[in-house]
Amino acid sequence: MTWVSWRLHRTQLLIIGTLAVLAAVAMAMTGVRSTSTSSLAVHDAQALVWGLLFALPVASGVVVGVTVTARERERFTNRLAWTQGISRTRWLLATLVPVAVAGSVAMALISSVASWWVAAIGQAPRIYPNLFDVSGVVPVGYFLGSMALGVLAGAVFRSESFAGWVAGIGAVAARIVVRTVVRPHLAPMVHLAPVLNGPGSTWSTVPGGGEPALGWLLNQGWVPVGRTTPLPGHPWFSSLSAFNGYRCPVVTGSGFRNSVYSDCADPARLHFVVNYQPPSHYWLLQAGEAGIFVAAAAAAIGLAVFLLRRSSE
Amino acid sequence: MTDGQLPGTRGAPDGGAPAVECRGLTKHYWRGDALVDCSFSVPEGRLAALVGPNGAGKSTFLRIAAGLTRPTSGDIDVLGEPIVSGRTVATHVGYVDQVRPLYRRLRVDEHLRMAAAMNDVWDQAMAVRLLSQLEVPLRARVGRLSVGQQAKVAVTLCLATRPRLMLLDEPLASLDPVARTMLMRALLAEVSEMGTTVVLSSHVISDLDPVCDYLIILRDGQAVLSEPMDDVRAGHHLVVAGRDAPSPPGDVVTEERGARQVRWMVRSHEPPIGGLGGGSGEGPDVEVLRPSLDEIVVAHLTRRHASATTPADDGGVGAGGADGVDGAGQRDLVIADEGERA
Repeated sequence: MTWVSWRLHRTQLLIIGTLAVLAAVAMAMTGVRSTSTSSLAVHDAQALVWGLLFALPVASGVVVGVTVTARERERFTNRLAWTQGISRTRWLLATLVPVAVAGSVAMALISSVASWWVAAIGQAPRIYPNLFDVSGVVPVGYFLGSMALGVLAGAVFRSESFAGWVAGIGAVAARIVVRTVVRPHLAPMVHLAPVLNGPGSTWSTVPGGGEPALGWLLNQGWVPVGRTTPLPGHPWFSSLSAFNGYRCPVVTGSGFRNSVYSDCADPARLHFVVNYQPPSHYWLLQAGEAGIFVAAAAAAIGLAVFLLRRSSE
Repeated sequence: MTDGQLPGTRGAPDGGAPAVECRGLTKHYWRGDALVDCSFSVPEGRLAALVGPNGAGKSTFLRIAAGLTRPTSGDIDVLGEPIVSGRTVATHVGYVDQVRPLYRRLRVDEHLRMAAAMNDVWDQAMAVRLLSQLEVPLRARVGRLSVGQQAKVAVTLCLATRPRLMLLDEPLASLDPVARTMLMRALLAEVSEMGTTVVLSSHVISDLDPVCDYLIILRDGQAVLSEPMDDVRAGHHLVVAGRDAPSPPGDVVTEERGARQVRWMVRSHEPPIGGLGGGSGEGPDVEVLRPSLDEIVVAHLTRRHASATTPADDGGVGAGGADGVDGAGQRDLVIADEGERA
């Protein structure tokens, strides 16, 4: 059955492999060059490579996934496959598992090159969302999740292209939700409050040499002293002047002036808080997010098996 | 693995276990009913023809028997086991869909390799021999083959699993006469050697006439007739008489009134001569003819009220049922090759 799976999905796997090799070559070129020269063209090329790395797991996962179910049902070849001597469940798993493994290996290889590349271009710590998304183990999770969503969509909709669009939009939506809502909480946030509360405080006094080195900045603003988040029901206030109509000078320039605190923050009993995920939490977040996508993939495959066993063809 | 049935049992009298038996089989689609309380059985070893117009439920029945579609209600046993769609693995059942689904980008020999991987029983030698006999190139991509060649591949894939039951949905549709003959001959040779039961649906009765030994007529989702072909032939009579002659005894399937004469299709065990009004048997204007299979099928499909599958014993039952079957009624029939579908 491994041969069957390979033969049915050969074209998709070869295309994925080709794109992976192309991306690896492009990363090798743009990653090495950035160490010496840094021109606009290199930046453009890096952006292009990043776009490919960003899209590849979802696109390839969806294409492989809908091929397993929707294409068979659209072309009625499942009527051939499902009347042979094996059950529908075994047929689905036997055709799916080999491509899932092959695709995962391809994604793991490309993301390990990407992890080197992200460090080589040296623009930001890899915990930054755009770099986080293309490195580590999450690309494998994205691939498996999108593939399972494609399989599920193909179990519901008979049209390959429609199932593909549904699964693609669903997978992109899932990635956006996880990235913005779930990922910040996958490891305990670090709060930084007292550093800025004093005369002459600026970002440059933050340990590690400034804001970018902190890590992935999640929230910042003025909150009541003793808290690391706003009062329930209140937004984050980026400037004191926005707080309760309290008359304050706008924070300007390179740093926080002493007067800001004496005039506004102290009477109002506010302090400035920064919530962030430090670079050291990279693997915690990677493992958590990849785990979410793999678990969702398993659930989607289970649901697809349930639906396919019940479906009338 | 065959069931060990010897060749030559084809056409044996009924009494063996049925290869397929359905009871009250019903399938609702939201656009209408495909099968309505349909009950019949096919004895083992038979080559059964499943005929009926479009929408009579032939394909639905075959897909249910193959475990592809689940019925709304009712039971179906195949080779003595109940079929549950999606659960049952039909190891001894072969099925060829009417669209003859194959993987267009795969070569013929790749299909064989795939089928070998997906079946416990696979006769590679038989598959290769059949395909060369049917003049199908092994190395060709299936998408490049003609419709007839694809049908040959589909039937070969089915035969090489050495099934005890084959379900063939319109296997001959849109094939040219040469391909038809070739495929049918090869199929018959193999199934009679293996003792396989075959249920074959078709619009074209003439294709089935010489080869099938069992007949099921489906109409509006119900089996209006299900019996051995010999009984069908022996049990139907075409009575032609003058306009004013009384109805013949037996189950009158159809009555056609022309300007001068009336034609009845009568279903009874005995030729319906004695009961006719002339006293001394047939008068000069009464004639009893042996109808063709075509005429029998058409009569059952144009009958005003579909009745039970058992012929009525007492005379006169259903006699008035076919009043006014005329030329207009005949034109509604679709007993023709409807051509390739999608």
